Amino acid sequence: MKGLKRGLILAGAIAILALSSVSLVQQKSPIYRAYVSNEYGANITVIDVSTEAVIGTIPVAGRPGEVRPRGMAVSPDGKTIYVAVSDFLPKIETPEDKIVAIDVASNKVIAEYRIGSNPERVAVSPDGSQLWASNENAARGTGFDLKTKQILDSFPTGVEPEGVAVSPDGRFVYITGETSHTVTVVDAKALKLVKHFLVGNRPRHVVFAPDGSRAYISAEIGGTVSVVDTAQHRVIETIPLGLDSRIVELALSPDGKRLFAAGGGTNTIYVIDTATNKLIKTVKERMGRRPWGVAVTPDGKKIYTADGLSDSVSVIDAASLSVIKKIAAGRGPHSVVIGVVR
Amino acid sequence: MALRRLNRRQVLALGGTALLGSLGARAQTPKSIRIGLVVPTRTGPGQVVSSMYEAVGEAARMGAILAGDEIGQNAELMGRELKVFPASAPTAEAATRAAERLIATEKVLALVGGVGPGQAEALAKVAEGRKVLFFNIGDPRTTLRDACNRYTFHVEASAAMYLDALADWFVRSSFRRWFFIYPKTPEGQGLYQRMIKALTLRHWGAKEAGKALVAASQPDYSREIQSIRASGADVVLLLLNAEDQLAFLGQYESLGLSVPVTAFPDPVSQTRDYYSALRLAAPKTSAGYRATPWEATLDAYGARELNARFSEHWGQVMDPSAWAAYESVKMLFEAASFGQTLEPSKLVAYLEKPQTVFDVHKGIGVSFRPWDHQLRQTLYLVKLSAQAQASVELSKRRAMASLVGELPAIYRPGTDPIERLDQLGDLRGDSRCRFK
Repeated sequence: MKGLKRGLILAGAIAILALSSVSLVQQKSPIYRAYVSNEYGANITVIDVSTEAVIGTIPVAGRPGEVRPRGMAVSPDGKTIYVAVSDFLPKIETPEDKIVAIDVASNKVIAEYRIGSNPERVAVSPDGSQLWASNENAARGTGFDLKTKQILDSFPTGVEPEGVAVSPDGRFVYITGETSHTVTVVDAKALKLVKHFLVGNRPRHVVFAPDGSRAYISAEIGGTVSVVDTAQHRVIETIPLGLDSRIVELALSPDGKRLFAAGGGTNTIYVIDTATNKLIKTVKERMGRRPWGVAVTPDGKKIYTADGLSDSVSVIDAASLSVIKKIAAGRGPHSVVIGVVR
Repeated sequence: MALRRLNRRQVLALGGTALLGSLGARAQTPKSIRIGLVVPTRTGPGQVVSSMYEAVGEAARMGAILAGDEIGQNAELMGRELKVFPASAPTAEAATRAAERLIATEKVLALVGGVGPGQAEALAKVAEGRKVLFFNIGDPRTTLRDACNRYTFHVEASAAMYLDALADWFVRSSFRRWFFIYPKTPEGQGLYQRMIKALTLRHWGAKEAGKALVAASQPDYSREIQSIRASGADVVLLLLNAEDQLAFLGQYESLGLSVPVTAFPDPVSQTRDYYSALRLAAPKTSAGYRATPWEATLDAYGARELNARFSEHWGQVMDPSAWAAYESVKMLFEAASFGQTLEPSKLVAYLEKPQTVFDVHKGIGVSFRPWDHQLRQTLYLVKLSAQAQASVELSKRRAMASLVGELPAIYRPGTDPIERLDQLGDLRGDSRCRFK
């Protein structure tokens, strides 16, 4: 009897321990949300990454089709989403040309910043203090100080600037020029123009490797990824994916070992091994139509794509590299990023 | 902020120096890229154009100047210079003189033009003789492609491409019985025969319901219109020049026929000015489908942005010749930049390379066919609005037509882009051109 009692106490203790450890695990396990900019719906679809359920839609403008959210960026802590919103009055800065900040925890718009006309994409500095926007029709790249809420400076870029990214050390900003096939390099600390260099035909997007040694730039018409040595700001290799690939956004796995390129022309995600710069897999089966946006969850387990022609998001399992889910989004998904609730 | 302490040119020069370094010492990067535009344009202070070709040339001038500004700014960023020299030439003889002058005095490495009777041949001849490039933006004729000039490249779609596009669109839409109206000229015969070939070889089930040969500037089409009435045709195709199309359509509508009419889309008949004239001549019949290499309401692939920038700059819609001139300047600059040469013979070789592709705001990489130097490209089907009003107001001019189709459709995953684009026009075996 005594033994039984001791056994029960032990079992109870184990159960309590187990429960508390579960709750500890639950407390520690991160909660992610995918944010999808719907270019023609003028809103943002919010998806719970654990359940793959749409949990909200956030309007960012009242004129769908005329005002469009496109590129997005996430703050370093994952708690704020920045959305580039613009209308179709080129070179005239209107109230609809803005960067909208969304709080991930509440899914509310918490701020709007004016960073020049026609911002197509936006990037955040690694310390979270600066935003950089590509001003498409003004052929400029503009920096913005989030503390002072002031524009830092604006720099000339190639024609139709689009892709914008800040290096992991916060030193350099790369801005692609779609029509001129260029990348403009800005020193974000000294606020100086560093150089412009040629890359592939119609460069749409740029990402930096986590260690900052390389940048990758997609060329939509050229069907290539340019690999850039960021010490010299020079293309050192070109990865061909086929003229028909029409790749737009790029995303790296958190360890930087895999590069995912969204091939809108072929309904395909191209997976590149960054050690060899070789294509190792094409994800086609069950993909949505015209994937332009692509993002990897911070734990590296899933890849989300924004499928513009099927108004959907495809979810790819990073281990098997296969589509595991398709989720209905809004009209004309353009980009997708992952926010972190905790 | 440091940027503001320097003037713009100093900053650009700094950027340019850096770019030159980035390209490496393996090749000399061309510094000054100089392009001549030779088209008929308005020369006086008035706003009224004196010929249909002037409207086309004026649009081309605006497109070339916009490209000069935009691409030129980009060239400056990279330490280079791009200059576009427009010259007005109302006739073929004037085009020859203007081209010779631009080559001699401005040292242009390329000519852009070919708008108006005989102008493309004249400029091709000058280009061949002086070993400079010529980009034809205004002449779709097969004879020009068959002339096989090494230094000539055709941005304007060929007649064969237009006819294939029209055949494809109408036959797919169940218009199978065709009536043809064409002039008693070798050119008219050629268009008719090429259309029959398109229907016979590519579109099973389509056939000729009737045909009528007409004289140039024929004043009365009542006999031909009666033939159409009796033929049971599904669609009428006018292989006439732009002026004769107007005359025919006016009479056709007044006689009350309802068979849809489409027409060969030479550059004159692709402008908003011409659409206005069509509306006046035949308000009902003109509200049909026409083919074009560019449309002001196209809003994908960066086209919306280009159309918007053009309208912002000029207060006009971007007519096809404006687009062709813009892209010609862009392609020439890119050929010099990526090909790293200003030598015309080397530029020809660069343009002929199968790997050389260009982005012309159509969402697919385009290239020149090596056998006849024709630009492979998509064409568009537009529908003229039945409610459109002739107006100088930008929004009303834009609303005169709307995009309804793209040929070939570029969004076909898993197919080769070149093969896809080669669905329009003459393939190597059909072309009489054989470069030596």
